[in-house]
Amino acid sequence: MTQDTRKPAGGAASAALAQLMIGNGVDATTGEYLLPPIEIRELARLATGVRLDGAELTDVRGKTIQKVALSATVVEGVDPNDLTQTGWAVVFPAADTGSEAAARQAAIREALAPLLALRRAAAGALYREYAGELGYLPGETKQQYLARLGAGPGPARPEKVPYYLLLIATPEEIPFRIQYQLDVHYAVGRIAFDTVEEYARYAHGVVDAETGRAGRPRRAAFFGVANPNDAATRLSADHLVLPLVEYTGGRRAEHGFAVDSHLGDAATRGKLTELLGDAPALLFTASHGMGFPCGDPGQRDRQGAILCQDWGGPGTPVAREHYFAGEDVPAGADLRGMIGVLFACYGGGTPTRDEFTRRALGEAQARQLAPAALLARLPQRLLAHPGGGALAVIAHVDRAWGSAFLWIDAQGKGTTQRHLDVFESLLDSLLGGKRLGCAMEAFNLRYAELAADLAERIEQIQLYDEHYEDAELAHMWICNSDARNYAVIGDPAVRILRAGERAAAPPPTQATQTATERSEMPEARDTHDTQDSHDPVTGNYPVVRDDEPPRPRAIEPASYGWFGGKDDKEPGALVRLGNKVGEVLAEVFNDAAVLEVKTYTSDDLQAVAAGQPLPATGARLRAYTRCKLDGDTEVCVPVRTDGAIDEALWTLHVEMVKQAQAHRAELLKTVLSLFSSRLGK
Amino acid sequence: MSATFHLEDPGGDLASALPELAVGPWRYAPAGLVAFDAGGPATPRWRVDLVRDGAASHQALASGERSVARSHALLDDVPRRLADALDRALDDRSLAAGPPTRESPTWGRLASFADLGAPRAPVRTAEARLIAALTGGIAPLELDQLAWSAEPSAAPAEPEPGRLAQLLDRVADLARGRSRIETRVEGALVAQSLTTLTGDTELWIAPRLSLTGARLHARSVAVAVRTRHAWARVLTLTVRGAGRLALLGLPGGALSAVPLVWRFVRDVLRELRRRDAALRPAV
Repeated sequence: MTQDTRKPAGGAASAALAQLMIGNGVDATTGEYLLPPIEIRELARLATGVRLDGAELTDVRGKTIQKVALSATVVEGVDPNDLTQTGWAVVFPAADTGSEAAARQAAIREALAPLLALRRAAAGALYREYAGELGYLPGETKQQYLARLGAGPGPARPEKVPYYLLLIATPEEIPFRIQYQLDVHYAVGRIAFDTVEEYARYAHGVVDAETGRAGRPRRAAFFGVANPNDAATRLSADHLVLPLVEYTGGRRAEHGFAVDSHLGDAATRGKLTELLGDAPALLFTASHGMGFPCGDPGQRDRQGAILCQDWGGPGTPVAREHYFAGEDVPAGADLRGMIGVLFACYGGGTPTRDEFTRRALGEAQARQLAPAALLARLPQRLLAHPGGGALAVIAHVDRAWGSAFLWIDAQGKGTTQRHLDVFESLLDSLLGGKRLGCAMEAFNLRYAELAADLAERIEQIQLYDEHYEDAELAHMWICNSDARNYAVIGDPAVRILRAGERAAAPPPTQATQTATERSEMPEARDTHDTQDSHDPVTGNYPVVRDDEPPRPRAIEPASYGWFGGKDDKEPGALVRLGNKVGEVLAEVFNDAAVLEVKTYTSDDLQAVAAGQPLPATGARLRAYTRCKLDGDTEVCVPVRTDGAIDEALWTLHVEMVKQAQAHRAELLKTVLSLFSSRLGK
Repeated sequence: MSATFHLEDPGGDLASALPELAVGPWRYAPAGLVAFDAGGPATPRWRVDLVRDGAASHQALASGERSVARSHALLDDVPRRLADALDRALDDRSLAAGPPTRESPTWGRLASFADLGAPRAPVRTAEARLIAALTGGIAPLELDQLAWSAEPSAAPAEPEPGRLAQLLDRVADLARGRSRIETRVEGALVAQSLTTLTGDTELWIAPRLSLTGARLHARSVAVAVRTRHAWARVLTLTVRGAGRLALLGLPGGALSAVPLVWRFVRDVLRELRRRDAALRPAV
């Protein structure tokens, strides 16, 4: 006997997923959500619609085997940090000779000449430029394209196709999904700018940083937003940024990086502006990303912008001064030598269609997110800044989820656990001088593992009719998609030089060295690391500044400020709790005069549950009771079309009224008990 | 598959609050998988998933009702037990410091709580921990920290002070704000109610909901509302108790009144769980 594999979801896994179904973007002007909530069952259906083709499945399975067999090495027998062994290539979209596209590519190539020369010098015989007919053809799968270049599925063979691949294409020309798929076995990054000048600025920025003409102090800055009443950012501040600050600070002896952190109330837009005015070598941010309605005039420039602490949290409108977009990068900033990690929805880009529905429903029926796939403006601006561009940005394409750092057991059997291994690995690698694409291997392995797990599970369900819960599949699918969508914007071969390391020799040909040349690499400034947590009472996070001397960590008796702050001027927790209870009292007394119970019927309870407005739910008010304190009562009784009372509905309505009255009496009793206690009785 | 009771808190993090509160049959929806493009709606969702077997569903709801009722019964006892424990703590301190005198600053308050000459009865875990904290003694090992406990969440670690402050805030918000209570049968949503603190209710049902389904939902709502009411009681008891403790002049009392009373109330509530665990056959 087989079980019904289409059984609806329920249980702990379903409950664990509830928070997944909310919040699909914030309208920048209204603060309302952009997309309706997604049901667990719908997600599970989408999950079962996932079809990794044979080659893709081979890839992700192969990658997980590699993980076991080769530990961190991704190219057998090859040092992944040595360009002479790994090779390096640029990939353009295919363009016909003499076409407008070919002419533009030629101009871009010329603008990138300093970078290409630097990489050619390093990679030697393994340097490649895939352009013209060797460029990527529209509609090609990853395997089809690699096959045209002479490579098959599996680990990169640099003599066939180099390990480091820089895509020079918009996501319309080479889709994000090709980037993700290539990233399983290759180190892939992407640049795309609106103007040729921006390509030139980026190339010069990278060359300046790698040849020692410009550099950053050895400082890692962490910027973690925790908006009021917002579970997502509070989790990211507490469970992602703060632990990473402590982790990085604890490894200072190994990498020599000072750490400064700006968490919670300190993570304002003004602070981020200030940070970029004196940029660190590594900037890590975690926040919400701005989402705009498809085609909104602000979408192109502000989609994925960092929503800072200035925002008042869910339910409050989002104003322009609450978020940090590309146009907010200070004009005088010099970002050469900086790598940014932007943890936010749409921080790296936005696909045309929602990935969460595209795979199952097809391109045409999937939700449209943007008129054309976007590379986010903020990383573009950081990389091509007129004052000197950053090396690269790691950011998330599409929506980002907490599964990146909090792991929930898909079947709801285990407890939620924090897992920062991929982030810690990334930071260790970057601060240890490894190339960015190689440093991202932990993310790629994680995606491969999750994708393989999901594929296996779907196979079990489809082939062997195994029982599953919708929530389990939905969970696995979201984790898989989330892990996949971390992307490198910039050259994947960039890296932060190690302390005292000799910079690379300048490229043989410096076609257009410009006025962006800057000073020598400044001395790394000494900043203390922070081990403080956020303030236990206010929830505020410590602000650590470079110019502050290290603070001794005195052992003090635990004083949690329950009654007042250290200077006794601020209210403590007892006072705050008392105030809170006082607010509840006021609410009870204000609201106690009238009790209302309304009973509706609706064919579409899901729409009601999703919070859609009354007319959209097809709801009808069928019974109504209003009781006043003085005993006056209004009642509307539900009748069917034949004039008889709808008994089931009426029974339920009456039961609800009775319950509401009993509850109110109990509540008043509770409140009065407190009141009498306050009077000292 | 049996009926389940889940509480989801999109506007906050109940992951640690529910094990602390330990009221009713509810399990929390672990926080973690949240989108970073938006905040969550603030209305918590109480979700009762029932099975098609009506008898089994009624049985599950009855069990939930009993669990909440027992929590309320324990809460009824909290003021008396807290007063007794404070009395005992004062007594222990007094014995250590010599006999109290009429001039002792604590004498008047002490007299209002208990008779000094009463025989000393054995104390329960909640009282013992509170007394130990107030007098510097050693608290006994809790039964639910022993290895055979079937529920991993039965003995959560003590919340950090900052976490506790946030938790209390959140509990106050939850006790006070609107709640959405959903009843599902085999996964299908059959009815839902939106309730306010004072009982105003909007009820939504499918047009052809059976009388049995209607009754199941009414009971689901009752379990949720009574649970929420228990939280409100936990808060008021904590405020009342902490206020009293703060006035007693015990060492550490002024600074740690809220966490101590909170822990006391929680420990009292946990007795229910310990009782259940003790009754559960060891397999």
